[in-house]
This record gives sequence, structure tokens and C-alpha cells, in this order.
Amino acid sequence: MPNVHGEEIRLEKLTKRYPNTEKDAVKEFNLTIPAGELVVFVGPSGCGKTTTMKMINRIIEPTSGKILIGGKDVTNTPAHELRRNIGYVIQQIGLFPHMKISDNVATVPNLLGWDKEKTKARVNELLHLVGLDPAEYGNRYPKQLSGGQQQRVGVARALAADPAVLLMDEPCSALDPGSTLKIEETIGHLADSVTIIIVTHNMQQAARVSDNTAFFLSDGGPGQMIESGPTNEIFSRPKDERTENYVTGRFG
Amino acid sequence: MDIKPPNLWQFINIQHSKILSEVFAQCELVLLVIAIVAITGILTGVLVHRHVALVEAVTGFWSIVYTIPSLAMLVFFIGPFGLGWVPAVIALVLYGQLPIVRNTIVGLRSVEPAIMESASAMGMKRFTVLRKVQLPLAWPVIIVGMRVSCMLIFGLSAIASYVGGPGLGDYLFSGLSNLGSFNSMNQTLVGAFGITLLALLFDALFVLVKKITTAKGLRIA
Repeated sequence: MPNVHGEEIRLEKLTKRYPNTEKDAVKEFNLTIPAGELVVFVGPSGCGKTTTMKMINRIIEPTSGKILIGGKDVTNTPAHELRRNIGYVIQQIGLFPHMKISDNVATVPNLLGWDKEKTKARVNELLHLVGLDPAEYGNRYPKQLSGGQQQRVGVARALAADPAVLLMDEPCSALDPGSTLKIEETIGHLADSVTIIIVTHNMQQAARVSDNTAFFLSDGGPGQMIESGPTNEIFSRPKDERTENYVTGRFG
Repeated sequence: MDIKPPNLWQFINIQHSKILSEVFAQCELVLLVIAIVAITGILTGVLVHRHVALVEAVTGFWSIVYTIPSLAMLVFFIGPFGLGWVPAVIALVLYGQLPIVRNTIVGLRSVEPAIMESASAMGMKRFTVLRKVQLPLAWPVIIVGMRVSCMLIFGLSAIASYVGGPGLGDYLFSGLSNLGSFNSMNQTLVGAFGITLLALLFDALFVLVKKITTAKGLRIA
């Protein structure tokens, strides 16, 4: 991978209260993710894990608190500038149906004004990486691909401009095992070169791909992080009973 | 001596240069109005589509305009603008707004949330999202609005002859008002069929334009 450098993500007292609600969805959340680490956010629905992740690229605008990426406060950076350095993959994929696969992947390089040759080479490289032959798939349209293939394109699109950070919201739910494997392999290739956060309900996947795990829970109040640490410890020797109940599948 | 009025074909033959010039005038009027309606209607839709209150106000307003009887509207504009093209164009532009404003709004609002979210998350600015993603995806819906507007405008353009507007409406009305007299039936038929044929032709043209201008990725079933 060319010139990819993960950057540290630090969240300081990050708080979100949605308009017309009484309580915070996420309250004074603190977390530091070292550069190049892969962290999964796990926890039951409504625990604030997706809200927390989406505040990092400000798809959800924080109510208060600070976001630092690579030590730089980006809380007030223009959102479009911030986002061009953050890859983003969502469960619903969201490819642009009117653009060819190669143009979908080239979205961010085009926004950044890369020259055509460089963009083309990068698109080809990434399509290879996610297991899609550029010659065969580059000129197709999203509707001509299966859901799993589309999400692989989604991952390629997110990585196109060498982002420092990659955010993934349930990237593999509802995908075929083959595509899931390919996406996990792709994530594996990125090891240490991109800082990655994955929100997932899939415990096996969390255990397979991540360095660290953060477990979230809401007791009717704001979503909180109950416990975080190396994934193998969270899964085998959780300190908190609630974490144990969740990761062993006793609730949630 | 008993003079028989010419049959329809003979009438068309005799009058063909006048008919043709009215056909052109009719097309000119409708094209002018469609162009104005498309620009103003799409612009209105783009400006208001994100704000529910504005959407309701604007569609509500054009719905009310739409219910004003056409003759009343045409006559109303004779006051300030006199007879001729101007009152006809203004009245038709007002009538044509509703379908295109409504379809522009519906089209822009119905782009999937996941696609909108992806577009902003890639770092597109608001206007880029509109230009590169929303408008191309909404385009098939917008052009259907234009097509409906066009049909509406054609229908009303016949009536616009009452205020001195150009086109085949003249034939229709002078034929109808002199029914029973020499050539009146021919005039009526030329007016009625002429307008109908032109309207169908424009409709077909829109089908073609829609096909050509819709992004290829959207045409794939």
C-alpha cells in the first residue's frame, strides 16, 4: 500500500444530545485509539456506538467535546475537508448507482484533484485488493453487481485516497461469506497503516479482525463505554459482568 | 351556382403556408414557456426541497394557482400587458409550474439516505452532492414533471388564442364561433387535430429525451 499512515484518534468529553430529546445519547465520552490500531465497538442497539463513530467524521455533529486526529483538533475543521481523510463504509453500502464502479472508487481522488493516471492506477490496485478484476468490473454499474461485490467496491471507495482513518458501520452484515472473507482480508492488509473503527454485532468477526474492543451499553441513560482493552482479554477475561454476558451471547 | 366548400385536404392545401406559420408559432410559444418553466421550476425545487415548511408552502401556492380557471387567468393579464404573446406566456408559465416544481422536490428528496450520507461522508460539499449525485438521480422524475407540464401547456396554449396568443388556437376558435358557415368545420378540425398532433409529437420527444439524458446506470433494470 502506498503512503498510508494511520493517525491517532482521540475523543475528549464527546457528547451528543439530539434535538428535542431530554437526555444525551452519548455523554462526555473519552477514548484514545493509537495510530494504526483496529478497534471494534460492540454492544446492543441504542448503546451509542454508532453515534460515537459517526461523530468522528461529523456525519453526526457533536453537541460538545473535542475530536483530535493525529493530535490535531478537527472539531471545527470544515467537514468536507476532514472527511476526505476518513474512509467510510456503511451497512447500506450507498454506491452511486449512476456511476461506473471505477468512478465510484475514484470519488475521493477526483474531489482531491488527483491526475487521471494516478487515480486510474489507484482504482485498479484497490479493485484487485478487494478481489474484483478491474477489466471485468470497472465499467459496470452498481446494479450489475451482487450485494457482496457492491460492498467490496464500497470498501475500495473508502480507501481510495489513502485515508488515515477508516470508519465502518456494520460493513459485513447481510453479506455472503465469500465477500465477508474478502473484506476481512482487505482489512488485514491494512494492518497498522490505517486506524480503523468497526461497529459490529458480529462477535466472531470482532474477535477475528480487531486488536482492541470497546464494549458499550446504555442503562436507559446515555450510552457509555463499560470496558475496553485488547480483544482477546475482553472476550476471554472480561472484567465487567455485563461485558461477559454480552460477548458470550447471554443478552443483546 | 352552388359553391361547395373545400374538403379538409383541399383546405390544408390552400392554407398550408398560414397553417405552417401557426404551427411554428405554436411550437415557439410552447418551447419558450417550457424553457422558462423548466428553469424556474427546477430552481424552485432545488432551493426549497430540504425544508418541509417551504416545500408545503410552495407546492400549496402552485396548487392554488393551478385551480384558477384558465380563461380568467388569461384575461387577468390583459389588463397590465394588453393582448398578444405576453399575457399568454405569463399565464402558461404560471400553470406549468406545479408538475415540475413538485417532481423536482419529490425527485431530490427520494434519493436514498445511504447514498446522500455516502456522498457527504466522501467529502463532497453540499453543492457537489446536488450536482453530482442528487440531480442525476432525480433527473428521470424531473423530466416526467416536464412532460406533464408540457402537455398542460399545450392544452392551455389553444385557449391562449383568446388573448391574442399565437398558434393553432385561432383556427379552433374562429371555426367554432362561425360553425355552419363556409370552411368553419375545416378550421375547427385543423385547430383541434393540429394541436393534438403537436402535443403527441412533443410527448414522444420527451420520452426520447428522457431516454437519452437518463444516466446509463439508472436505465439498467
